[in-house]
Amino acid sequence: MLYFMSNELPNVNTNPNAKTGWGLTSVILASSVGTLIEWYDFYIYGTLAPYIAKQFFPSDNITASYMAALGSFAAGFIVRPFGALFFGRLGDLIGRKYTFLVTLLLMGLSTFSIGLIPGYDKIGILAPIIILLLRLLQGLALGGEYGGAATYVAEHAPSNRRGYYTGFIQTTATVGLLLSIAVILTTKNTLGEETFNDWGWRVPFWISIIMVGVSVFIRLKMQESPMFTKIKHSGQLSANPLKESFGKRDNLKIVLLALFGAVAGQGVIWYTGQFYAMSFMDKVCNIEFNAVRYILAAAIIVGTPFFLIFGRWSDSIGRKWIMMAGMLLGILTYRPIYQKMLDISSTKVEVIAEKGTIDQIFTLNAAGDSVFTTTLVKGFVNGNTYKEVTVDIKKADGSKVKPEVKKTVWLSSSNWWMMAFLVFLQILYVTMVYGPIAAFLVELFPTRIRYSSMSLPYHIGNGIFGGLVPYIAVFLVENSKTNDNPSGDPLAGLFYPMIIAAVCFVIGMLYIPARTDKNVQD
Amino acid sequence: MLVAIGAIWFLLSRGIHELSADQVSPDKKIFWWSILPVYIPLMLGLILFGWYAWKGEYDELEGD
Repeated sequence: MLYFMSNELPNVNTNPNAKTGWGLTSVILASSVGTLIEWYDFYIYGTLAPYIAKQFFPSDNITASYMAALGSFAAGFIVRPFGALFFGRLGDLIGRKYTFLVTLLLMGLSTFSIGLIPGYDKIGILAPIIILLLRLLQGLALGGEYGGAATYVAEHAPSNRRGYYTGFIQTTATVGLLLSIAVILTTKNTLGEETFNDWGWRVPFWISIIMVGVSVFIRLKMQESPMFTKIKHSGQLSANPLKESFGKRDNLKIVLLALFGAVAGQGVIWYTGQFYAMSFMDKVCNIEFNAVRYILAAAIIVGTPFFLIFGRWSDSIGRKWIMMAGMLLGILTYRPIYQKMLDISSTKVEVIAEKGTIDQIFTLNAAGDSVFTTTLVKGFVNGNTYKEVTVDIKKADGSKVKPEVKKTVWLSSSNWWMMAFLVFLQILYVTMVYGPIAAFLVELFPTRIRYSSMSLPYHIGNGIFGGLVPYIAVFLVENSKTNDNPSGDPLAGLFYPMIIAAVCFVIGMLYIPARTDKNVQD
Repeated sequence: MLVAIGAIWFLLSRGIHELSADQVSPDKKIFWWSILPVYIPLMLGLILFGWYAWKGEYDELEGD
């Protein structure tokens, strides 16, 4: 059955605890700001992965070093479900407010500490070990944050606008990513590339402690969720939220449906449209670092309002159709989109004559090694510019080291806008799958076990299925390389999100109820 | 259920093949030792979901 602009559900609020005006605004502000800071903390690690790779995971093989850094990035995602279990249980036992104060403090201190750890060259193997431990703490903290924030807002919002108001929470992950990009670009442009490469990359981690401090101050003034307070006073709290959430069939089956019918697909769409798009532009298209971040930032700024638009629309027509449409669009259009991204950044087009220069610089370092630096610049008929810097070291003992080649593409103005549009399309799919999902998850579970029940599938779907997209995608591309095809299939990485989204789409279409918006008081 | 069983078979066969190769690079070891313990339990969860669906547990959900 399809419900489009249905008249069957009354468009009225049925939540007696719903706040309005400044009361609701302050609830949304307190939840959103803290959640945004947590996302920022989590994402600066990924955005700065190339620098972390170099500082803490050195290797002769650049890909191996990047994989190791991505692996530690992925570790933060893998532990999110454990954070969801631990803090979800806490939130259902002692309340939402204090639980996500703890998560905020844990995240802030871990992030700040990452900026303090000396590099591998100073403390050796301890460096990557400590970084990994701090990354795991970040993952645990985030695992407890989102479920609390979404639950908190949903339990205050009018029932007929739940999708719209929880949409504000849904913007925080993307805006957190945007904030991380903005802080990194500002720091880099202020300090200069050399200083940024040296120690300036630590500044975004240090800045976090100030933002966390402000957020803790705001959250200390929050009141506990009225629904939680009500069930606490009436003695209806769950004695064992985890057992009730996952040990009883009636609730467990809903947790599984939420995961495999909605969140897994949402997770892969989310991470493909943002993180994988960024990684693809960096590593496959070789687009200049700042340009990639500006492209992503532009697409995010234009796309962010759609979280609220689709959240609001889901209040009218139901959450399912919008989420499923976002997944289907991703499945059908990812390959053409990414092929187009490759095409517009391609260096296999006609070279405009007389636009290249070749310099060869020979230096002799203190060890007696000979260092040859060759720079090649090309201009293309499509307006793009390409620079290839090859550093070739010949050791004093006569042995040779594999040359290091750095490729950079600068897009023409029209190609820049086309790239931004292609990334924007992906972010549009993100807003479709993610905008309604907070309300969707809240509506599936009773108040007494809501924090635990919604947190676990959310963090498995996003933390594991979604968070591992860049990691698995790089692996798939590397494995597509053969002797006959040494560069492999650059689009091989898309198979993973497409397959996960397809399975989730089929399950969601068959089993997710057409409408789940209902009275969440119980 | 079939998709999950197929996924488990694929992951195990590919993972064991890669890890038992003569020379395994560290990044491949990290990759497979991370992926196998994470995804196999998830696929077991998918089998459980399929079992519930097979038994008709989702046939009449509120809102349908």
